[in-house]
Amino acid sequence: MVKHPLLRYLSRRLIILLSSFAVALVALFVLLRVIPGDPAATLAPIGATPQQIAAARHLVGTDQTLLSQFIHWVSQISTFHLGNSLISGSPIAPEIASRLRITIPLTLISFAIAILIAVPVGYLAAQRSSTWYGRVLNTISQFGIAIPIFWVGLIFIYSFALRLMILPAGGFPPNGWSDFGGSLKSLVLPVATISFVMSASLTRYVRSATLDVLNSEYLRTARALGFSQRQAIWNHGVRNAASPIISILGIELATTFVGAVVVETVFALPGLGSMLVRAIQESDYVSMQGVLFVSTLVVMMSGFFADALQKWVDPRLNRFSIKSETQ
Amino acid sequence: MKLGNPRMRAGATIVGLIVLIASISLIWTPFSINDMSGGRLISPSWHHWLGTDTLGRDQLSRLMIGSRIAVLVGVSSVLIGLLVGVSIGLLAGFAQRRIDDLVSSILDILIAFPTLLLAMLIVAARGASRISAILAIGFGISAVFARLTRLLTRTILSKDFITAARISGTSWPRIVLLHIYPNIWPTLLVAAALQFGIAGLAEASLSYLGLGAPPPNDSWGSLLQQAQNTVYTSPLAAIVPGLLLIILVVGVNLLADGLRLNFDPNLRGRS
Amino acid sequence: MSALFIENLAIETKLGEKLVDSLSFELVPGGRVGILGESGSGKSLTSLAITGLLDSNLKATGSIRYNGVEYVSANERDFCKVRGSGIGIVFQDPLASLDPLMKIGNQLGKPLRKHQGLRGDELTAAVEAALAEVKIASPYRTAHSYPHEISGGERQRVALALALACRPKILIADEITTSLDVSVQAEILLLLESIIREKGMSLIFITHDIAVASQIVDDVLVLRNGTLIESGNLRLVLATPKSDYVRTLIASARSLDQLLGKIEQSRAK
Repeated sequence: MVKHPLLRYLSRRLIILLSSFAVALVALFVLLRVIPGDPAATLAPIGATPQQIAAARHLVGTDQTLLSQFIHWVSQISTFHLGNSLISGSPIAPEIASRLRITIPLTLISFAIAILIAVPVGYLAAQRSSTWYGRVLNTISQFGIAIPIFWVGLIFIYSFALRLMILPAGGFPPNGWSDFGGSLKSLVLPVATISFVMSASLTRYVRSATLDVLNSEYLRTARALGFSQRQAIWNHGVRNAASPIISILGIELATTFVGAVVVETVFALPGLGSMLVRAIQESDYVSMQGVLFVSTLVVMMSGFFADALQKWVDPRLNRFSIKSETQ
Repeated sequence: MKLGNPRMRAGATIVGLIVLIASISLIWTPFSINDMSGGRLISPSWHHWLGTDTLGRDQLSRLMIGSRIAVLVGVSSVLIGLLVGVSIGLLAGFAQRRIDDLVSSILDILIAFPTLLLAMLIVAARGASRISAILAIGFGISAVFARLTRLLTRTILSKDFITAARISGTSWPRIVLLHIYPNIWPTLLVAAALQFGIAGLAEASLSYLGLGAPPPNDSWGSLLQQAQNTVYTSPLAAIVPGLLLIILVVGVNLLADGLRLNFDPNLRGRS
Repeated sequence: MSALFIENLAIETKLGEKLVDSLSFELVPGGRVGILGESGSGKSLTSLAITGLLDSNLKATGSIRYNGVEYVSANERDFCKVRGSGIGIVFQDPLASLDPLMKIGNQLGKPLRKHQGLRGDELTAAVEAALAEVKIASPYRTAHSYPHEISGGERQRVALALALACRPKILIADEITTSLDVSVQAEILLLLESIIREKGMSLIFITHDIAVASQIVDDVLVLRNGTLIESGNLRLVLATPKSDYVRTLIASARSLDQLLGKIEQSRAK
């Protein structure tokens, strides 16, 4: 009975998702073709003959028209053949896959911890907003959004890795997750760094949503009917607060992902982020394309799921969200 | 505009101080940035208040130049963002349903992408340089301004006094000048202040990742990247640039909050 | 005995500003009192003080006695016992007063479950019966709708049903007709009147509109800037007002009435 409008909404969102993804692909393609310099020249050895350069061009594909290049590229990525790195020559899809094994857990665990911190802290900051510690909590979260994430990482490295020497200053076990203990140890500080910054941001949203609920008239009605404050909040407050929070979860997850990208450089983790940074520095545009394609996929999908979740919680269309306050 | 409330004053003071330091650095710093006479990694001393770096350059001077870059990049990218964003927002606000829907969807997609990611994308396309960073960050934040402007414009255009103005023969450009602009600039100013902080953080991240301008004019982000290698021996070099960034962003956020309170004193006490 | 005694009620802010001062009145069982006043006169604050729903930066002093028990400085737990089953209250804006994310049936089910101990099929039947009692056209459809899917008049009926679900002895209606269309206003007043009469409830009716008040209450309290200007039997006060303020109120209501009468006459011709 309720499913129907939900399914209709989801299919509409899916169409929007696919079309926006198409737009993003075109934008990505165009953007990366604007790079100055001839990638073919990078491949071919110095002092190459015109035939060798032409052969290199053919390999890279720049001898074709832009449109056929685009079609070729789209057909390739739909089968996840993401091409070969311009620098190393080896296929990037497997590399991306193995790096995702670091970036995805890093992002998700940090996000989960940030939420676990933000919900009680934000709720407390709202519930006790008139007390001194409520105000302190609020001030702390105001500060938190001003802190550069890589700086937090540096501080952590200095304190825990170099001074106290209880955690590694960076890097990841060479045989990956098979060294489970070592892998976890390597992720402690990165996760702490990301969660620290993200929880500050999420706390603000939780606090704002909670304040809205605590000052609402429907809560007053529930109390007027004889329910205690706690019962009223449980019955009505939770769902109503969840709605605006979920609306920004998609963006916050994307921001967490970007935070992971930066943090990987801080802690020298072999994840997707450090691959992207290296690719940009080396003008390896095939790698860039591949990583950005996957990143776009991740960002859009998290937005889609957050939208679906919100629609399930809040059946009204065009619900006002806190999106305008982000970024 | 009365210089209203404590938040605004505090924010303005902080930002003002940093702008002052940045301006001073244009004509004078304790040492030239090319002066490598200081001796490697000296701790803070009378000569060098914040010590020196691995090449013997005075840290305080480098920080002062960094402040100049932070302010420059912040202001430029916000200006670009405003220029592009407000124009698009106005157009979308006036446009027909179809076009407006299209623009809105594109804006929603753009806003879903974190600013830093968009910036990295553009730097990837143009290569790392200061201008790339400014353009990239400016483009990223223009989406926010565009959406805000569009929303405000549509709201204002739906009001009756606009119909009245049109009936009395006011042309569209005059309507923009007389009715739209006065009603939206406070909100845009607050948003601009907030985005300035975001731009500063984004630039620092880009520089830290090595995607900002190449040396020697190092922003605070670059300073942090360089400090990482020697953080054990000279932690101060790693702490101070970050602190300065935090102070700048906190100052700008306070200013934005204060401005918001100044324009709409009926707001409840929440962030 | 479920009478309500208010004596020297004062409501002040943390800074000592008095929003209501020296208000005293008595509500006998079955009585109907109207609190009349403009916005800012403190009439809504009085109803919030009686039910202990005042904002945390406001403080009520004086005496509020219900059933012989003093409530003015009672804690939350004691107030919970009184609210709903003792004193019920319906607010002005039904769209804001109802949980926007919960279906009407579920919202109505909660007080029914709590105060009448109903479960399962009994509860479902009771929900529809409650909606029918406030003359909702299609109880089943409404029970499965969200607040934003029904009309303003229906929403106010639902708000009334919510309060009635607790079987209160005293009902406070705080400007319940103010945000409704005039035609719907009349219906709601009729509904309220019949329910009060049927169940023998006492009523405190808060409004700024004399005409509306005169249709439903026996006694009236006129508030202005937080102080009681006049009180007594409504007919008496209207016939022989003792203060200039009340005289002005009556005069403006009367001139509107005359104007409406003239329009009707000219239409009849």
